[in-house]
Amino acid sequence: MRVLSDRLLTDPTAEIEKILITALIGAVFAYFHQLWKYSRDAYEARIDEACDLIFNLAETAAEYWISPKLNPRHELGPIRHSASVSRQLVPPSLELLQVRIEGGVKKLEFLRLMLQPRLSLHDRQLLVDRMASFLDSMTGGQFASKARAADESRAREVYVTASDLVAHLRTASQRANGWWLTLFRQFEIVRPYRPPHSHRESIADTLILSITVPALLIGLLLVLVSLIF
Amino acid sequence: MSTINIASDFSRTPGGRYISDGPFSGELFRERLLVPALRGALSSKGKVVVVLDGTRGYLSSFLEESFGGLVREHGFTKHQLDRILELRAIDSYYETYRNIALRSIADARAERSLAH
Repeated sequence: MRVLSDRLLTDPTAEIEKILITALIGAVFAYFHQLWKYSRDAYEARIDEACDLIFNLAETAAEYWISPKLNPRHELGPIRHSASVSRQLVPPSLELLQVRIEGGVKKLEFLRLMLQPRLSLHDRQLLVDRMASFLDSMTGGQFASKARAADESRAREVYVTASDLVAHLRTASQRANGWWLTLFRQFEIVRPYRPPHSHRESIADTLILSITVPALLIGLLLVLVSLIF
Repeated sequence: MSTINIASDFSRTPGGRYISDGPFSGELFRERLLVPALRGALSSKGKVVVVLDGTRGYLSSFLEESFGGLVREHGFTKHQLDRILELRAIDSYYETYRNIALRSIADARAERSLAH
């Protein structure tokens, strides 16, 4: 403090400039750090929402596939006298489960659209692939048929594909939450960026970024050094 | 080149697998629109573009019956379908469905080759 006060006495303007620049740099870093934290937390909340939905859907789908669906016109004809038996053979909940699965799939698709812009091209393609497997295990086979047998293997498969999808979402979200990506998105707001749709575009972007970003950082560093010293 | 837009040419709410399952099934779509267009494309050496956009979504069973059924029921080969059939998902929302449809063709081919 004594050294600082001595310097302030000898050359007050230069020293105040240095203090202000240092404070400004600190403030800018703190701002971007907060921005990154908010952005990461908001994204993680969406990922949690998607994962909960996936496991809820898996539960619903497993319940749907584990029960046989009998056509009431053919199977229940002779035993309509017994209300308890007819309820047992055609559980009304099966129709409800079917509607819930269809609705849940749509919700999940919208969540995917919200989540995928942050992901790399490779992670996006993998996400679509894992989603396709999950949807196929839930709504494939004899889904929505008037009558079908119970399908235990499909009920098991639903959990496997759900776990694969959740695992991919979790790992991809870790990769999507880097601080440099948050910084990049801030620039993107000012100058809209075209996300790569092919490997060629992805390679071109990597080349451009690997040249321009170090050049900008070195330039910024030189400016700061020249201002401070 | 002919284009089939499922939403405008067939239904905005495609149904299940078989005609017996209800309206706008995969089987109905395949028999009424897809197979005649593909047969025409084969004879004229053209191409059929199927646009998936615009519907309220698809059940995997619909897609499997529509596209997997081409190989299973009508004897189209994967090689032929690669040449004459193009599946288009303009909106990113339909990418998953396109993936399922392409997978159905590949899996149906596997079933067919195992059967022979």
